Amino acid sequence: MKARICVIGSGAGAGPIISEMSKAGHEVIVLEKGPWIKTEHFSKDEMVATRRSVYTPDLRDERHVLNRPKGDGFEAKNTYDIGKDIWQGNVVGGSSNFMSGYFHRMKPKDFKLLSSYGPTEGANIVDWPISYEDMEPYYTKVETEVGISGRAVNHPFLEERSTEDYPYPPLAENIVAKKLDAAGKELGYNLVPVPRAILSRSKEDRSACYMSNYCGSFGCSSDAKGSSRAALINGALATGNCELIPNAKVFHLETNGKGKLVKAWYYDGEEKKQSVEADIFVVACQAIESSRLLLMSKNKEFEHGLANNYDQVGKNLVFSAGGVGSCNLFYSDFSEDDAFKLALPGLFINRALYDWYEIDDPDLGGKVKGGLADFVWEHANPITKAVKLKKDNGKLIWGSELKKKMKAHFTEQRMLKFEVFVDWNPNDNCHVSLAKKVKDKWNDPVANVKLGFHDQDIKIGRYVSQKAVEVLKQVGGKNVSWGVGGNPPFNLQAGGCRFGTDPKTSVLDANCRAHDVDNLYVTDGSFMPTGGSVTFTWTIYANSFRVADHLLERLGTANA
Amino acid sequence: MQRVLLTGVAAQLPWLMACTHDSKDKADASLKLTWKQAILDQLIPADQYGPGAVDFLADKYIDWYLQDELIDPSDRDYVANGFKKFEDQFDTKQFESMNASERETIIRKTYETSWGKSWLSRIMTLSFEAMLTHPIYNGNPERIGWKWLDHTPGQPEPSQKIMYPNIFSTINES
Repeated sequence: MKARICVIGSGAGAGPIISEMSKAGHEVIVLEKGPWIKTEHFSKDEMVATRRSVYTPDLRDERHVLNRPKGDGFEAKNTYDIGKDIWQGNVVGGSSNFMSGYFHRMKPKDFKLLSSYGPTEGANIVDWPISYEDMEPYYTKVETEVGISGRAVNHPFLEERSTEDYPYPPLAENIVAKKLDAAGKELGYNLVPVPRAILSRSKEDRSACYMSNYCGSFGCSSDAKGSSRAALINGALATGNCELIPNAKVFHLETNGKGKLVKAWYYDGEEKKQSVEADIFVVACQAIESSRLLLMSKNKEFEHGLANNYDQVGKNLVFSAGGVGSCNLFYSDFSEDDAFKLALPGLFINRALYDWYEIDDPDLGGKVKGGLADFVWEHANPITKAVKLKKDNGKLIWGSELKKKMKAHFTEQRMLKFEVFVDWNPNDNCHVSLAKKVKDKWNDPVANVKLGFHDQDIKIGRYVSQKAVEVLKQVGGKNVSWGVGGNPPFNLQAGGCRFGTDPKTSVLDANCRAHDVDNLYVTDGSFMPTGGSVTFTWTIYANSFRVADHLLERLGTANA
Repeated sequence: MQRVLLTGVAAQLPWLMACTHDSKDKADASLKLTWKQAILDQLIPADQYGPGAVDFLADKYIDWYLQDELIDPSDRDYVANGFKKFEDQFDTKQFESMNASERETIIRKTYETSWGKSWLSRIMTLSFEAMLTHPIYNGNPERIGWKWLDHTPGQPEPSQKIMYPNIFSTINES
């Protein structure tokens, strides 16, 4: 099998390239490890979405080794043994099918963190090789191509936009959004509307959001959510230039002895070895697995793994640091009308606290990079909600005591939460390597993920969380609780193949092409040397469109 | 506020009425439970707050879970072995004939053992699945769990074709 371009993975880092290259007439083959779950297969079934491994591999077959901080050192445990599943969506469209779609652009200073704020001891901070201005047209392209709804309002950290507003109007909001705005005004804080990768009106064959109340962790039944599958891959398939092979687990990338990649080897759905030849290969398996694949692709030419001549592959893995907090909005604390409106399911909050994206506080040593807090509802899925209620102070409760607590939680209040996003400082103790002993079902080494974090992440996470706590209290929340820790959110992973200008300190060049391999590109979040204080997906989508433009320049259109 | 509460009260009505039954009736019903049901009933009883584990068919749901070959056998063994340990440790016939307060003593004793602490927590989670899953999985009959907690299910709801585990073959065939 031969194609002009072979794309490995089909999530946010892959979709734009698959779409743009197919539309330009290039033959594209997509190798996706997971099954092809189509829109009609999705329902709001908690059993399928969160209680069983349907969208993710069985941990008996495929696991990770997590090397987590313990005491003064680290302790390695595999995810099967500790019952911690870090897989995200392993299906066509990847985890973008299951995101909530809180979309933020990185800010101009995020592209030059080192020159803006100086070095941080113990952190490997570098400037990006491109600027916000380079990325801006692609952020805009994501707004129209993937579909982003929202309302641009002026605030101290609003990035420069080439268009006045979003192409899709904001989604319908719960009354709590207005209450948050009012609380912000009372406190003198800016509560800013949050754009969402969710269509508020239809786009081609995708319908507008019908506010099912089940978004994060669930596949979208109207295709309103801007998954790579619904927004980009379906269109690519319609060109007739794209072949999508699901259940294709790539295990080796073969070079020709002259620094050129020639074949991607994979196990098909029947566990048979197959290969695809191509002129250009694009790897986008999500950060941890992309680094793993390159490290697994060792040969005489690349003894330490593909594109790893300077031992950079897997290094400087980053997540989004931050914290979480919550409160109860008791209906009895509000007017009858407001209580009724607060309880209405489906309507969105879409507000973020942006004032501390940069912090100027002598207690923190002057001007430092900060972060933001997104306000969200507790997810609606009731089993997950109930499980969280079964203990008080770590002790199981049962009988009428438990039932009274459940009844009150489900019917007398609504839980308002915040999620804080701050930079995860890249450091020498956060990286991907190959596990020495633990293998997957194909007998390949699994990823060994070391999860060291920097104290600054915690400090800034706490600072921003404390501000968000003030908002929860001001809005009338009771039982406010919050926490900041060093455990990473695995749905927000990046780095491992950072891009840069120096092959000795980066894996990819500014176009996300491997320094060492002329026809290899990595376009998931792996390229990001730093992650900003925002969720990553918009940037990953935008960058993939940017690389697609570079590829079109390199290859031309198919019939030109 | 009233509109919100009304729904809650309406959903509770059968249970409010159940509470007016003679307490002897309730005790009689409790005596008809198998020992496994009685454990679950002790954890999530039918009471003034709403229906209980037996109403949610938690025992049958756990049986289904234990027979699901897609679930890791070690997870299933863990649940099944807990029941065996309970059987080894206590006279289950006697447990069936006990009143609620006597059963509570046994459950507390179980919770004080190292195995019982985490096992009770595990079967509590499975009972929550029975209580709040879509009725297609043979728990939550007539949506009583959802009604009790005023829960609005999301749409679309699962069909036979796309429920677990049928979804695997449906995807492969499509």
